Amino acid sequence: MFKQLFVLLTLLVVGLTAHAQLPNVALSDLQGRAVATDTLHHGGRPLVIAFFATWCKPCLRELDAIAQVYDDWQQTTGVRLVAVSIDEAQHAQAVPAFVEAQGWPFEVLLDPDSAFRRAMGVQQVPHTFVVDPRGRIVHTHTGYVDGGEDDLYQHLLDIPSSVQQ
Amino acid sequence: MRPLFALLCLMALPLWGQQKAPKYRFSGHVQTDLLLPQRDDRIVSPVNDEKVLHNTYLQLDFQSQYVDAGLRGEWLRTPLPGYEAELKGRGIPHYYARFKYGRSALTLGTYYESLTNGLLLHTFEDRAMGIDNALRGAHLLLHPTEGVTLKAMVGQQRNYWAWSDAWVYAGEVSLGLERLAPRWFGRQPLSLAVAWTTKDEPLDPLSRIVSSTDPQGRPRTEVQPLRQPRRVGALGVSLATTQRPWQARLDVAFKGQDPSLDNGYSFSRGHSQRLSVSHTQGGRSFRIAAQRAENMRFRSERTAVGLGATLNQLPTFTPPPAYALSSLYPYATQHIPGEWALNAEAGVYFKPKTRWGGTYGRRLRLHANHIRALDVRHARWAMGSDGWEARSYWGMGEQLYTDVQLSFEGRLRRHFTLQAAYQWLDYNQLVLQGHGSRVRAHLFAAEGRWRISPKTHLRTEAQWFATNDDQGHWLHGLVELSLARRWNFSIANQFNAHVPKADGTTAPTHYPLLSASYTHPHHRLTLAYGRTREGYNCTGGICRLVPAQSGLRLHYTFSF
Repeated sequence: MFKQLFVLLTLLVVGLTAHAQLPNVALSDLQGRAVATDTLHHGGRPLVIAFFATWCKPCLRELDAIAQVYDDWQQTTGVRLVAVSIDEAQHAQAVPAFVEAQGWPFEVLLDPDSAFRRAMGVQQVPHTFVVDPRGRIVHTHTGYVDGGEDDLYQHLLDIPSSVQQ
Repeated sequence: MRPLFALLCLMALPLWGQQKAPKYRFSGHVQTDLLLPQRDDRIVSPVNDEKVLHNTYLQLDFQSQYVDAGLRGEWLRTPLPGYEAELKGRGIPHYYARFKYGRSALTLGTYYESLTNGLLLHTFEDRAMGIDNALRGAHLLLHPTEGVTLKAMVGQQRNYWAWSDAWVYAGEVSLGLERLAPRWFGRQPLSLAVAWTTKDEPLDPLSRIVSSTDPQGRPRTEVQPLRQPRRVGALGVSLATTQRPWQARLDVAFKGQDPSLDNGYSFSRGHSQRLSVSHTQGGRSFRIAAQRAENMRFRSERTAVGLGATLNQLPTFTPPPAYALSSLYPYATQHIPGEWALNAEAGVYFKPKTRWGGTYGRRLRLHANHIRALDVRHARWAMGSDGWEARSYWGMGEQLYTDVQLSFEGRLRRHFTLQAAYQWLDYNQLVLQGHGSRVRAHLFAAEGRWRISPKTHLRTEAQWFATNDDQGHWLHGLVELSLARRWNFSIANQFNAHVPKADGTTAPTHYPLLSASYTHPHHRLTLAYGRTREGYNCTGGICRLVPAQSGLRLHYTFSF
């Protein structure tokens, strides 16, 4: 039974890791407006979804590092980055004030019930996804090592220009 | 098993080399945290005969346009130190199937949900805390029209490796008023949500001792069954609005009579009010918040203790600790009788190329938290009584926790970033940890990060927790080297001069820790060897005591 399970898992992992679509979950932006996650990739641009929490220092380091080069990334790839906060309950209400004082140039959405987090299979943060303009998840990684944003940029450049609009 | 295996293989094969996004997706992850403990006479740690302790999880999920499904296996037969004994075991406690149509969904199996910001219901999984209080049953989510969300659910709650005998029923009606009636409410976000939770729990064979006098006036005591309500309900209302640049949210919750082990089997009702107001504009923000909570611990089992069978969650107002030594004295929400919590925050982002922002931009933040017990009569009460009595709604009792934090962050040079923080703390250790007295302390912390090259980074931390109370001063230092965007190597040490030993004396003790980690898009492996101090692991107002440990640790995750 374990041999069968191992073979099955191998098939699934090798065949399926880079091809997936976004689930449909209702989040809210920092003003409280509803945002449907299955429409995030609309607009014909590559999309980066970065799950974070205000208490997660590696998350903040990663997003700060991306913030410093975000303008360049947008000019080169047209990328849209959406940072999704998994802070819960009373800490979720502190996120808008926290983000305002961070000075980030990208969007931030709130997932206080962790519904989107569970739907995306995120267990630990930071956890980042790259989605191509067709809505396929083409890359994902967990954790952040200083300089890792350069790898993320390379994955954006690897998205074929015929796919980008 | 063979037909199922073959079917799943067939489902996997067509996804090779697909150019279009398929209509379904498999995902999952494996996580294991492992400890090889070693004997260490410098620390007081639990005796353990096992050579290997580990917590291991396997999660598998399937998603498609109309159906999702998944399961999670857990192996905790020899769990890591500090986890509750009831967590020992293994099995598949999480399994679900979800049927979707548009934005509506019906879930059968185990599920998670949060109502009234957690005051009425908050089921979640937190592996670091050893918490999984999922409900198992049915959950219905409907979006009948734009701006209206309906939820209804029923189930039994997971309580370690068993399921509660109680049935839990809950629901919520959530209205986006600006979308339903923009003429009346304008176009700025304004939402109203009403939720309810009810538990139906079989009675327990509980008795109480009642003192009285006989007809001759002689004192007597008799044992009587404790009257218990079979059904306990709670109601919550949330109102949230944004009127730029202001945001406000109010959560109010009420709970019926719920005699339980938590509240000494009293018949007092519970209620909680939480208000948060913030202003954000132009890189500046401030926020104030207040919460009063009284007897709002809500469990699906009235005799449960520890972390088991909790239906709701009252998160602490204190922010999660940002530094290693700021977790020495954490705050956990005081449910019985309750608490008053006040919080204020302010932050400012100084833009690059400005007088205060320098070349690259800088940030300044200020936090202040003040938490007090309720002012109540009757510090002790009898089973079956009305319990305590708050002298007034606004009355506050003894101080539990006060702190003020000031932090700065800025990239001072092209390749150097500095973070510095100061915290003043006044902590009621006797109430919050059950021993000691007041701890007043100052925390100084500084972190420097150097970008030596695009693939080489160096990070250093230094912290000093200065106090003359409890165990006295603590020091912490860390040096971390990141290489090739994949590797991390670090060496850290904490030191205290008065660490208690098994023989009752104290001794100066170092807590050195060597660590190496490798990060790949799908894999993350961390190895650490050394000694860690006793401390508290806290999340959302709940804390778990983690004993001091010594040995080799491994943390591995694989996500796909």
